Amino acid sequence: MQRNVEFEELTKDERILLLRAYDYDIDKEGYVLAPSGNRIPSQEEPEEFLRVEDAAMIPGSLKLIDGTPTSISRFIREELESR
Amino acid sequence: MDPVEIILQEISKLDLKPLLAYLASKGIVDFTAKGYDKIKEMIRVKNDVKKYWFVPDKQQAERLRELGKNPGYQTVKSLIPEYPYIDVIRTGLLIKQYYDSGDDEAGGKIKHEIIGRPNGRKLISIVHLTCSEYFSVVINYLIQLKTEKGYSEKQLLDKFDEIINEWGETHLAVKSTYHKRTIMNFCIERMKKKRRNIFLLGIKKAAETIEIAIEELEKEKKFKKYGYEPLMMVRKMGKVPKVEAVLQYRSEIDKFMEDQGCDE
Repeated sequence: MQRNVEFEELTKDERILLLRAYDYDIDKEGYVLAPSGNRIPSQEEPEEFLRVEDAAMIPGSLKLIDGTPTSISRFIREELESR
Repeated sequence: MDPVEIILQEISKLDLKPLLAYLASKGIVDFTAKGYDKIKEMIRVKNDVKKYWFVPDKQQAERLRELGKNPGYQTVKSLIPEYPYIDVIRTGLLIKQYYDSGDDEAGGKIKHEIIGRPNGRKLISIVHLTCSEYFSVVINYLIQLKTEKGYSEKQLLDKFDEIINEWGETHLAVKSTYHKRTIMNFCIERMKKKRRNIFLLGIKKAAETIEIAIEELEKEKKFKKYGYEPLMMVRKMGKVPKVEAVLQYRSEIDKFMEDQGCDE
């Protein structure tokens, strides 16, 4: 059964606010910083890091994933379609 | 009244998205000011409802959700549930949608991003197959292997992987102008190289030419010589005849396993 979630977009400022509500931050180059202060590696391109505009933000304790179609497909499959 | 209390009163009525928009419009950029930890807490409470997934492109995410119902995607998922690149197939279907609607820029952008990943060459082969008319041919072939030859999930997964790994040079979209010899030469060249699966696809006159070419190869005993088995699937697209042919390499071990009725 599919869970009912809505996909939404946020402006950059709104994204930063949401991130900061969970103790994330962004650096001067626009990369997301984990609460530990480190950049978050992309799961699809391990040598790259998540940028604030490119991340998908999943609710709960705010999980950040790559905002690419493949990564979003995986999350839809695992989180919405498999329940 | 305390300014923080005024903000809290305002945002308590709002859903998360308008709440964030409201705060941003008030120039609030962080929660370091005195009392702002209450605002931070309010955001967390609202987010706990788990209503929204915030994504870079809302329409794209909606399309991906819909593509979960695509029959081709569903079939691959049921035939090989453990396929590690199943999400790349859904991405390929999205790219196809973009191309079909004339949005080459959106499709090309995703492809470019995929090519840049580790293993990008393989991933892009999956995308190319998914975007092509051969996607249904390959799916039909896998179904045939399961229903007629009793392939297990593991064997189907290996077979699909094998098809992807050789994809760039193992398929021919036969045109009506092609001579049977063109098709035969294409097949012979790949049989000599022991490509595991060779795919041919044609409609109308091209469908007839494929059938003739395969008959000729049979007559010339080329399949026996190189160890191949032709599987022909004749279908109709409305009233139009369509032929999908797969030449499958049968190694000695394949033959032995099939003779023994083994699954693995």
